[in-house]
Amino acid sequence: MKLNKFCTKGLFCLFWTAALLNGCGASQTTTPVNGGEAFTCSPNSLPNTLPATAPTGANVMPITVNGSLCTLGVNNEYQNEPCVSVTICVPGTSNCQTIGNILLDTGSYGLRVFSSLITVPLTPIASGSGTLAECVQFGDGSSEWGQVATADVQLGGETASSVPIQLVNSTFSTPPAPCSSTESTPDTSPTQAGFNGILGVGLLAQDCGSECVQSTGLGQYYACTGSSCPGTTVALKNQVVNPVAVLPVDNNGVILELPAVSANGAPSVTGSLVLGIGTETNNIPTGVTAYGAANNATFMTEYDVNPSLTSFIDSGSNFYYIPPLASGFLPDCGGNASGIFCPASTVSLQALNMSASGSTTSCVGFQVANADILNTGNMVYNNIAGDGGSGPQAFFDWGLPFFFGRSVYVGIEGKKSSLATGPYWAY
Amino acid sequence: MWELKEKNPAWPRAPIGLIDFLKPGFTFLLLTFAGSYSPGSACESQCRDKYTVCAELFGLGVARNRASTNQPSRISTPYLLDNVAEDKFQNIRSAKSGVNGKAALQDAFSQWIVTATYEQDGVELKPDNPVLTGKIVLKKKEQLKACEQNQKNNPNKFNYSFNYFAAPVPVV
Repeated sequence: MKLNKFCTKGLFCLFWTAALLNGCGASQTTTPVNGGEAFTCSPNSLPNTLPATAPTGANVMPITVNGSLCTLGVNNEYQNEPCVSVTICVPGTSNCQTIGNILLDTGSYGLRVFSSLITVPLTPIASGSGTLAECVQFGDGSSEWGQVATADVQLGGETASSVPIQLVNSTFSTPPAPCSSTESTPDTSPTQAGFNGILGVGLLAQDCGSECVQSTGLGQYYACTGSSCPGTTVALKNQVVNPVAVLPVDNNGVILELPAVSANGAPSVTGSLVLGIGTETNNIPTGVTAYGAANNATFMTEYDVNPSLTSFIDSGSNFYYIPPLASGFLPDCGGNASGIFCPASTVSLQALNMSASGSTTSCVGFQVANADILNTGNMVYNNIAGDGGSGPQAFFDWGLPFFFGRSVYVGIEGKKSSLATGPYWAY
Repeated sequence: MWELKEKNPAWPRAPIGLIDFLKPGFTFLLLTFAGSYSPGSACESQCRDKYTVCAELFGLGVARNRASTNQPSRISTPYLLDNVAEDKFQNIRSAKSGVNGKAALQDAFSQWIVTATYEQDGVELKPDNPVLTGKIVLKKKEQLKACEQNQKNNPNKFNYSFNYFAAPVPVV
């Protein structure tokens, strides 16, 4: 992808990229598409170089995108699913359980595991006369509902002690409306969801923050007694927490390192989740630029005719999700791939990422292939995109394809590193 | 997955209907039929006899009992879908043999989520009503295996192929 460095004008850049990609064995033809963007990519932002050797150490967790860590206990993986294993323990004890097929997610915050899988006796957190429960919703309309309990969470060789995690159970007590079928699609089981749990290692320290300390208006936390679950406020210490943020060391963020993927995809790839940024010899930032995020963990992206889309970098989104091109070059696949784009031939596109303040920018090139044509049995792709909506609610989701061939740094809010003080992304 | 914050109501939701059809991302079973259609074939009748299919087309509210209907004599689409489609796909009904059809079936325990496209000479046929997506309940999943085995036992007689693949399921 270094070729993009030489692109100084959008249209030229697109043709250049197309020509080289065709020479690299892409199975589909590549069509240059001139988007409606007003910016010029000069110089273009490049994927930074991954470490020559895979990092090792107590602060390293292996990742498989699809592959072995995604088939532990559940055999219904979906495409571009990054998985890790996590060990949970009864706090202060060696009574532990390792659970695989945990979705590694930079778009959420905290550990969530289906309660049906948990064999160690975790104690739910009390709230009023009952227990604390939580409802979270995700961008695809799914939701997780269940009690909040305390556990020691082991990430690689490091332990976050006595942290609140969610025990996902769609039938617990009476799910509130945001976690019922009227307003979302609750995940009901590992088989249905496609994973055993979610490890949220995004930019925020808690999954709600001060707003849930002060108000029940967000509809996120509930105090359940019997079948009654009224909304409740909840102290920060009892909110589901990003476990990285409460590690004794290496707690200022994470680095996701995933290898590049060819245009034809791969059955699976392996990579690393490195805990900490600039805290160990294996996580020193190299060749990356930080992009500050807003308090809601978003920044901005200029793309096509959209000058400032709300955007984010989310490993838990399995594809790019972007607005359709105004030119119509990104038609919906329809049929079984509705919501995914199927251009007549692969298109090379670019977008301009901006820090939340607008002070730091970089241009990112990416490709969108025809998902139907690509769909030949591989599970990992770097060039599939879905519909990120249009109009005022359009968004730009740099999903998992963005991570391939890059080291992506996730700086947690309020935590300092040599790059910046979180929240920020760096790549 | 992008965790929604109600404090930021501008967050988009999945396109209407998307989540209903495509989440979660189970392995799909792709049934394709290439070549001429063989109404009344053993595989055909076996599946027709054994599969009691209840389909509901989203947005149409149509429920049909697959087993009680007539043989569609015109199309090579998988038996699981062609009847569901027939009264919404008049143009397909009149198609000749040789039309290729494919359907993707999603195994969600007893539920199968189905989508389909229809092609003729490599060109997708556009129905008057584009809605051909719905949930189909198969009484017994094993019977599909039986049909598949029947195909394997009669490779020269039937031209169904069974391929498993993963559909591009959006997860946001």
